[in-house]
Amino acid sequence: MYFLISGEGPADIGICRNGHMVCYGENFRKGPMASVADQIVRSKAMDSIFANASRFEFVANQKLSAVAGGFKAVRKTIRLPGKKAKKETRYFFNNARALAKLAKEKAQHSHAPVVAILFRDADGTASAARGQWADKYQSMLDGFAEENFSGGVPMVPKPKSEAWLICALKAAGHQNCAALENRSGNDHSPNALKDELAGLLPRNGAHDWLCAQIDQDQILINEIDMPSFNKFRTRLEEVLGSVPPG
Amino acid sequence: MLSSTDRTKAIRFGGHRLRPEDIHAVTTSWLDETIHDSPAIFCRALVDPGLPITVGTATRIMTPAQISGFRHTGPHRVRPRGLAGRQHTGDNWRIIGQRLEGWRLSVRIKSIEVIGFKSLVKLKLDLPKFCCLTGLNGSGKSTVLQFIDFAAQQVRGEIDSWLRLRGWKNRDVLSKLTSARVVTFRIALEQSNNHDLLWTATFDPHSLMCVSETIQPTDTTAAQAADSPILQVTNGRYRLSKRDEQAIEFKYQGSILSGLLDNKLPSALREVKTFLRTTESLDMLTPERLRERVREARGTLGIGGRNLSAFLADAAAPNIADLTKTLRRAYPQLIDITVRSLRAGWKQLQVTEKFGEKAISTEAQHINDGTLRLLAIFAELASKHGFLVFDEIENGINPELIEMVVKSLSTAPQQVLLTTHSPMILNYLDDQQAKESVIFLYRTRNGFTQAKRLFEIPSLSEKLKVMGPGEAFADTDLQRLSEEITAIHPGEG
Repeated sequence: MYFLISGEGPADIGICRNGHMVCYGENFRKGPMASVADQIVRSKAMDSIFANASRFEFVANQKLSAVAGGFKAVRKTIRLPGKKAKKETRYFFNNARALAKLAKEKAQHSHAPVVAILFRDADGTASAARGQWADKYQSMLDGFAEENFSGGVPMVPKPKSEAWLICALKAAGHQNCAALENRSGNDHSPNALKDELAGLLPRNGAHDWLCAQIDQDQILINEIDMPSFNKFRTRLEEVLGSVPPG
Repeated sequence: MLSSTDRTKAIRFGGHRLRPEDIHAVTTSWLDETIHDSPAIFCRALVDPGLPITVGTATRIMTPAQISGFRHTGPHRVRPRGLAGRQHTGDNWRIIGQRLEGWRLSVRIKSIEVIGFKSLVKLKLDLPKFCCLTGLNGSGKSTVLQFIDFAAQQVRGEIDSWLRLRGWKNRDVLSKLTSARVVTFRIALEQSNNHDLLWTATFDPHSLMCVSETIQPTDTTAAQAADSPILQVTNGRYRLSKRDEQAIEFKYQGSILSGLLDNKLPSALREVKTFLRTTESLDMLTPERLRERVREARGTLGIGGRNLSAFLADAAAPNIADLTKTLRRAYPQLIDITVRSLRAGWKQLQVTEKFGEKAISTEAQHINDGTLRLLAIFAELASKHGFLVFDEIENGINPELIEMVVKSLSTAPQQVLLTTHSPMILNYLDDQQAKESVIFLYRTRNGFTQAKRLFEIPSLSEKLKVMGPGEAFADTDLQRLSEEITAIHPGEG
């Protein structure tokens, strides 16, 4: 099995240390969301995504944009919102298509089934709290399907990844977190999720501390109960289950 | 010197030979005025530096420093000037045609500031040379176009006729959102042959004239060194450049420029007046009006394009053969466009098409709306009008033709402003054009129209990374976008 992972930045999935757009092994600096995905994988009695440097690859945002550039080059082809696609979803659809395209190339080269995890905040820069979460999530699945790729897993926290982490750190028994999903995703709002999370983390080295805690199963994030997280976990388990091991 | 009779002489550059009809397209408006240092050199300088060009038996080579364009320093002289602005892409003939036309069209509007014209209560709008205005219905797009036509009308005078034709009362120009009784505006004009100018005026709808106005260079050193302001009108007196202040002893409507003779104006003002006078706002382009039989056009398409037939027949009009050739790219069956003169000077537009072996002629009344619109648009593009304004450019144009229309408008030598709701139109812009040219209009909570570059908004700029500008536009919930913008900047208006 081969893992392709992509996110928005170092604070979620991670970043390449050498500034490249694609990397693996030691060149990849893991972010908390990568650890989250990994915890679910390990909970299924499978090896960590990162156990074998040659079995995973990180794809940066810019690489997906470059691949998506190939779709947009044909100006005549324009996909419009309508009955089949809602507004404020095209960004998610196109990024999913781009990752699916890369995943299929990888599958051909490595002769192994590929699982592609695509992280995007629901209320991140591209949509800024417009549009519906369910439509965005679905459009990622549609984007994977557009390229006939069946191993795609949308990782779309609502409104942002901070909500999942706060739930894991704060809530007793990780329950009753659904209310977090209705909070504003705006980092500049009065009680921003970003600030609330920062208050729960050590002042220095928060990033590494979080990753370590999740990797060592000290924070059992895979047990949280939040609609957007549940969707992610279910789908990831589904894809892992459908793929023959090795 | 290449005159119109030299068309048959071989012109080569880079080993390619210009065909006679291409030279003709280039020479129409340009060589009919005698210009030394022929366009052959000019052409070649634009296309490829270091390439020798042969005109007849003479061969010349331009140095890289002489690239890009020539500056009009007088009626019979040209000299090269430095590189400025972006090179347009496209085939050789278009580059030549555009640059030659561009050389003549030396004025453009850089920005407008409007205080008190309908919903434009306090609007500052920087105008890129090619500008696409977008926005929800009621955001003020058509109002901006009306304002531009209003400003252009100031130098034509006859404000009362302009109001009647639009069905407006005098006071309709004022804003219902404030208590101001006058319209004030500032228009910044860029001139390639002269200093940039700022035209400030206060229009009184009661007297239908600008009760005060000034035109002065925007550059402060120029403003001090030269005679500044170039024009000043206050309290019934006016001053032009070096001349003494005089009492205004004549009647006029709009700007005083409408009442002053062109040949008495300093060259900078004359160019500005010509530019504004020929600004053609086709915001009332309707098929009925395009079909009307008219007698004379006097150089403009008129309200709603009503003068189309006479405009095409005019000696000064764009060459009909070239226009036909352009339109044939859209309508391959098109043979000919003609304007017949009927009795008593009336003109009748007619189109001839080939179907199978037959040539069928159709008169204006029966020509389809889309063809007429396209004809009006391309007639304007081929004209010498300095600023073309189109409302909802996509109306009546079938999707196959949109790419051609967008390319023609975005690479036109003239300044172009259009409004659109169409994602297809926007999707044919490249990313850089989209960022520079697409402006989003919205109304604040107080109803004031405001403007923002659409692709400077973070969510749109992020979307542009993975989709075309039209797709990004269509994907966006514009109503919510307007609300977000007004929430962030409630202070405006």
